Amino acid sequence: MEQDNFINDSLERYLNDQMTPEEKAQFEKQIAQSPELQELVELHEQVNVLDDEADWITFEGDVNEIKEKIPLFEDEETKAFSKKLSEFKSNQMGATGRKSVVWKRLAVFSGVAASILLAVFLTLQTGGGDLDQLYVEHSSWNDMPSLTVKGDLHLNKAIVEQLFQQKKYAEVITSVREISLNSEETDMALLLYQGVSQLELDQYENAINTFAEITSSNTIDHHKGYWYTAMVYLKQGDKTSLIKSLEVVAANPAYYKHTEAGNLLKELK
Amino acid sequence: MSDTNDLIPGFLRGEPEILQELYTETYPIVKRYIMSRDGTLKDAEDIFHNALVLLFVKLKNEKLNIQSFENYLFTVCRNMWRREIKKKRVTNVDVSTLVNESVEMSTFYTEQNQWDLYQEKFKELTDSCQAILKLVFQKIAYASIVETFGYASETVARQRVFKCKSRLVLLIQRDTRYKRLKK
Repeated sequence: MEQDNFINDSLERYLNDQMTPEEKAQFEKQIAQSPELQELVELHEQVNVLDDEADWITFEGDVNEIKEKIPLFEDEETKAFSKKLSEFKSNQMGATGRKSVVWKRLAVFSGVAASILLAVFLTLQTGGGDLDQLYVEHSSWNDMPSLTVKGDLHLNKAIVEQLFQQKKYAEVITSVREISLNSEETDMALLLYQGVSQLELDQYENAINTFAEITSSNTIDHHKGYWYTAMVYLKQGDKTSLIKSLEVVAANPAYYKHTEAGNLLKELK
Repeated sequence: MSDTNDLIPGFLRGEPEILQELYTETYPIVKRYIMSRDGTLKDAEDIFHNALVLLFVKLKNEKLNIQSFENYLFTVCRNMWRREIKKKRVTNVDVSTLVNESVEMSTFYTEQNQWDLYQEKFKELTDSCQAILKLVFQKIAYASIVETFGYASETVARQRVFKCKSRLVLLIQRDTRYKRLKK
């Protein structure tokens, strides 16, 4: 038991990078000699990337686990299904027909090559005024206000932000409603999360109403509502309303996404 | 959107109405996800295609306990893209590597099963453990975590995180599927 506690304490300090260089070297020696400790360290590191958008937990176990699944993908029935998918896309969706293979290989390009390809692709697409493509380009929610700001101990708000990052939009809407019911003041940042979630779920009318509430408020950020309303029209493909909303933003240099709105207008015209 | 139980038999038969529904309802979400993370339209098409093939094989060979077919399909697409991003970052080569296509699919199949297991065990943790670990996994700074949860100090928060992670690791290790997966 004492030994377990000692290992746990060392493991915790090792994973939290709290050991001195000497302690670290000593513990790493211990890890190298103990398969059980190696497994613990590996699992602790693996679960760290469980929900990491830019990382993935590769499989380091028994290779037979992989080998025994290979025939499932070489099976005639699987190949027939894959072929059916390709034919469906060619016939129904107007996509470019490609040879039918089980695993459609993704070309692995270097970062630079990928950026160039993406830039060329986007230039070609936006030149044609494709609203769907423009929505993909402009609907980045990376600069949403943080709900876990310093000094704010409101746990429910932090959970709304988590749910949003996990794309659980229906749950975001429910949580915002619950928080608002128990609060005397309307939080504009929360409304923004609600509106974008409604937009993601294609609840266009609700989203427009939410953003209208933001624009008609007396808050310092009320103008953000105009940009997000434009995003609703962009996703809906309503070009006339989109242009009207963008013109409001483009006409006011102090408004959120003022420059981006101007650029988008140029692309649309 | 069709009910998951009604949708699966038609999906396995490759019925055009079901495929149409998936391409109309779920594909745009996948496309937006991938293209907003440095992917191309072709990446999105291929990922979606491969995810459908993977689900076909999975549903044919195991009993899948999922609440929503569309949500699970999106999760598989997201994980496939995460894997591609990692591959690109790690390999840093100009052309695709010559790995057998079926090997790639079966490797991802195994990794997805591993991820499903970890995720399932994560949901067995207490609500408070899940809440704090979610923030840690999202790389939220410990200073914010201390404030959000009202811990006395960063050391206390780190101790709590370690306890929650140790519990998760233990739950994973105790599962027979993990014992089968490990070396």
